[in-house]
Amino acid sequence: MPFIFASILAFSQYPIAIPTTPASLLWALPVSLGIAAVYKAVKLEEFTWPLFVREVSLLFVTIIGALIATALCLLILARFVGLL
Amino acid sequence: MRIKAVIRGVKSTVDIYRYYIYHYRLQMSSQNTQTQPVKPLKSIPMIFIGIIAWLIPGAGHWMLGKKNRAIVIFVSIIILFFTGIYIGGNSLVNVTYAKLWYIAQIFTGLPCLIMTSKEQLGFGKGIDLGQLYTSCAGLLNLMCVIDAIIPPESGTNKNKAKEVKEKLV
Repeated sequence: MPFIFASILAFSQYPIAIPTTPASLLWALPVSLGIAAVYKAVKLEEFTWPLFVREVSLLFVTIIGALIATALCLLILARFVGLL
Repeated sequence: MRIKAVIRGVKSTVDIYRYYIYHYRLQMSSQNTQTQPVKPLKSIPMIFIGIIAWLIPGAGHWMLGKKNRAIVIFVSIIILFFTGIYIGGNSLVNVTYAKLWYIAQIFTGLPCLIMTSKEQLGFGKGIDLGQLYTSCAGLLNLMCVIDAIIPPESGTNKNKAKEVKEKLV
């Protein structure tokens, strides 16, 4: 256990470099998946693994869809205002 | 026409509030008489469950007998938290230089207490993302703590709520 903890401390001594590229937006995926998993673990009335996986997938897709829709709205707004 | 529509809207909003208040009171009044679908809560003090659920993500649900949920909560929150640490570095959970983020992070419990640092915090996209990940983990654990200490509603309550809703509609 101390070895695992020491390894975690060692590998994360400095922040990793994340460039400002479109690919950096993919960092939103793990956090969305985590939120979907915990939320559904709390909210499901009857917990069965197939149902859980289905519900988490649905929520995950919904979150990503909402993010994309928000991005599109902001893009349209920016074009309309004349920022782009 | 518009006034009528506004009145109709206000009426339906009031109905919704009435429904929720009635449902809440029903739940409160029948809590003592209902048998819960989980382990008896009387034997374990609520404050103890709350503290354990805060310190170890998912432990509260585990104590209540919801082991599958506990495993999912533990794995998800720990992975989120340590991914944040990996992205942002050791000094990310910082009580001196990032106090507001720390308020959200502290709800992660033991992992946060172990990783708390007072070193100078840098800046950059990695730090920002790391703060986001660790804070999300903390706030999700707060949700789990609240879910663990507030008893879930039983099936009978749901039926009563349905009846009330039908009456109101």
